[in-house]
Amino acid sequence: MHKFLFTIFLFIVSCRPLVTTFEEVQGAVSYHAVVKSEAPSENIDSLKVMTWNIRFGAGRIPWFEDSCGDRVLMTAAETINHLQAVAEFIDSVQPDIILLQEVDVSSKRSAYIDQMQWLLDNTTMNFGVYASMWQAEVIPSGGLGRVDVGNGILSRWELTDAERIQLSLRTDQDALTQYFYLRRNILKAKISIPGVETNLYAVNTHATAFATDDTKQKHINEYTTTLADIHSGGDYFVTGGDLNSIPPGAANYDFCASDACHDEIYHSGGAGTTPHIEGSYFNNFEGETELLQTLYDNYFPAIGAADKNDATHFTHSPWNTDRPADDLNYWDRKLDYLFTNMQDWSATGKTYQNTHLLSDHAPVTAVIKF
Amino acid sequence: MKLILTILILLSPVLSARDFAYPLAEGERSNGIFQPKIYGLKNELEVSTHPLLFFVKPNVKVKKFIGIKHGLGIAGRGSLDYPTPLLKLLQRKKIGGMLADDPEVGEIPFLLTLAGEILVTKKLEDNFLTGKLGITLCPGCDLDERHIIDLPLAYPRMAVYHSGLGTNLGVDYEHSMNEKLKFKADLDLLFIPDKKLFSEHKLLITTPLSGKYNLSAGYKLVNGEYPFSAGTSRWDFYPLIDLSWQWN
Repeated sequence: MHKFLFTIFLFIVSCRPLVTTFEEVQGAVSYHAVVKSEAPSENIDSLKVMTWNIRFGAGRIPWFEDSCGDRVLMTAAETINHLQAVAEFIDSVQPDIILLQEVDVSSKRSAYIDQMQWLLDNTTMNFGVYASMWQAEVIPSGGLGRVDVGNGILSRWELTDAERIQLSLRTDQDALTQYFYLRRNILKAKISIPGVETNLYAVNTHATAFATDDTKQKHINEYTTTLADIHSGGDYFVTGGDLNSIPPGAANYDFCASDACHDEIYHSGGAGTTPHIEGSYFNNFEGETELLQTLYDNYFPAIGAADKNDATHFTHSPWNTDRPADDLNYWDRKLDYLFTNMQDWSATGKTYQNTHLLSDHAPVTAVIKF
Repeated sequence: MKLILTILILLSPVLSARDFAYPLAEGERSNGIFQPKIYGLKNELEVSTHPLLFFVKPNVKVKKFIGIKHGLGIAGRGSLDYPTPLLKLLQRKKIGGMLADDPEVGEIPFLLTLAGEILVTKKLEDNFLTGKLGITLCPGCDLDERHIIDLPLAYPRMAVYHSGLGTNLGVDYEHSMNEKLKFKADLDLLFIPDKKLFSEHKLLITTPLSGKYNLSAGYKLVNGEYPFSAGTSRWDFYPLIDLSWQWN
């Protein structure tokens, strides 16, 4: 009988699931550079933090899912060219901690290059942790094939206690779509900086972009709860990511007209039309436009409250290299943020809009002083 | 519909035509959900095709029994396969798209594969042992590798559309335990130029449900190195179940 049950058990567990699901909280995947760069080991008086959605090393190619394009699968050479530019930019800025979003580690679209490992081996970063937000043997849509993409943290110093914290799933999808869809997360790790006695955490997240229900509210709530837990424990954090939310008081919350592809019609209300483009409209539920106010109220932003809606700090637009030569609308909204509970670091905050060909998001940095 | 086709294209190689030198007797028919339809013809010929796939992936296989030498039954098997329409159907931007519609990857070209195999079977009372050796050619094929579905079973078969050549070597063992149970195990090795060896092992237990219907269950174990497996081979295990039927 036991042999029979064991056989049945083997049968069930041996089949590889098409899509990987995750625990509510589980350990993150650890990485380290093959050859480590020398990192300061004493008299460390500052910490430069960067957040960057690197768009899976796709630069600004006209990708089919997010920029009215028709590209799906890059070659290895294309991917490495883009990653090389990302690595060169990182080394020019010399951050100590990087919060990365949309890092592919085993995706057909980016020629299966493990971008966490590649960036560790081609920058001055030494350690990394990774939490997948979309891991599937195959995505039967658009020829995407296999995908493994997620959030990563890179550091010059060792990262410990790394956790992947599951965010709520979208509820505006049918069960089959939801099964194959993204499972977003918060990635949290402790930074072991020599000589720094306080517990300092790096917390990285990538909130939902396309939900039309209140999933984004849930994501921000889950994110702020994670931060509040660290804060109430007397510990410190540097945090940020692609929050897919506009800053409170932003002049525009509707980007449907500028984001629409040439054959799409929005806002007409006519038969067969959709009111809004998913991901381009930031007023799907009451209070969405002010969703991040709680972060500004409780913590210190890298880009201060007075500057947060300034065009020089916009970090995203779906522009691609297929756009007409006179369209230079590289950045038209701010979606990427850094916060800390340590000190006001807004005097050091920078948005790097000169990266407009490296990704569809601009990196943001700020510096903590010890 | 595209999902069904995808499942079929993935599963059709799992339960392939009878790897057995002796053909069905004239007038006998055999079919299965995932197995091809097989017709026994006169002159010890056997013709098979996968009827569900035929309209989008025209395919035909012909087996000719050559004779018995030194107690070994010997047969030759040839097949034609035209996968282009199916691959074109699976190339789309939206849901159901298994192949990318990317201008840099390109359209699906004309692809026609020709395969030839020699089958040698030794009969030993209730046991049959069959060895096979084959070659698959896809003349002029140079499908962009990104169009190959990177999944076990599908990958080595579609890799021929890129490399233009593949060879296979295998052994099958069949044993009738009693009137109610038949046991079949096989091992296939697939060789694709510039790729590591792919190996597949299958075990099936078949029991008759009636004079006409048979139920088969078992597993398939696959080993291979894929573009995503970073230079290491991986194992995949699939439970198998199929219903087949035979009639005159």
